[in-house]
Amino acid sequence: MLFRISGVGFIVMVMATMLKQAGRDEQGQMVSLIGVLLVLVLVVTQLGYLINLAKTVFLIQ
Amino acid sequence: MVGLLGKVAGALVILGASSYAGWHVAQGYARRPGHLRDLQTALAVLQTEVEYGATPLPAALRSAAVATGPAVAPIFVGAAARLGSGAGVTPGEALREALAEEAAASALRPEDLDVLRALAGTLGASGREDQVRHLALARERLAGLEAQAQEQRTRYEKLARYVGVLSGAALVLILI
Repeated sequence: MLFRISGVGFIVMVMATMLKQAGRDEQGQMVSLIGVLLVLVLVVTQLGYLINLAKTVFLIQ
Repeated sequence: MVGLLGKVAGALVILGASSYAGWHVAQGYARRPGHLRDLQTALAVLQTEVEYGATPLPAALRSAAVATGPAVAPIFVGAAARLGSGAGVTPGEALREALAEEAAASALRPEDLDVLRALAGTLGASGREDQVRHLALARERLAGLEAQAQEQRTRYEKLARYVGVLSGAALVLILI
């Protein structure tokens, strides 16, 4: 999971830098935004698991 | 174990497809300046034929096609064939139809074809000096477009290739 997030971060960084160098700043920003959203979705899903785990461990519900 | 193999195969397919897409876009950028140069050569030959040879238009179009590269030649061959078919089309119509049919195989953009369409209206429909002037104008515009295409090529050719591969890698990473 960590590797996946770091991999997405790395690829998005390289892509955004290259787009910015080619003078397509808007597309570069769009790529970074999409990357942030993707990682956010991944992290939020994982956080949901964590909260569920905590609930079952401490016998809430 | 089969699941892992399937994942690897799917990852390879996705990576290959996105790399090919990036390569295809890059190829369009790489080929356009050469095609524009070929068009200029063809128009130069056509201008010479009109100016000094006073050749009939189908023959002039054919010799222009012979002088240029294989990507652009079908446009002029097609126009010459339409003119010579005896269907009663004007030279402008013949060139426009040939452009609509044959230009898809080349890397030319709509703005490049617009130059030729503007030329089609006067080709074979006005006096010699007028045609020569319009041919020279079209060549000038094509030269400007070629410089622009060359600049775009240095900017975007590598970028398209890398973005293709990297977006495939990102997709694989997310889906895995």
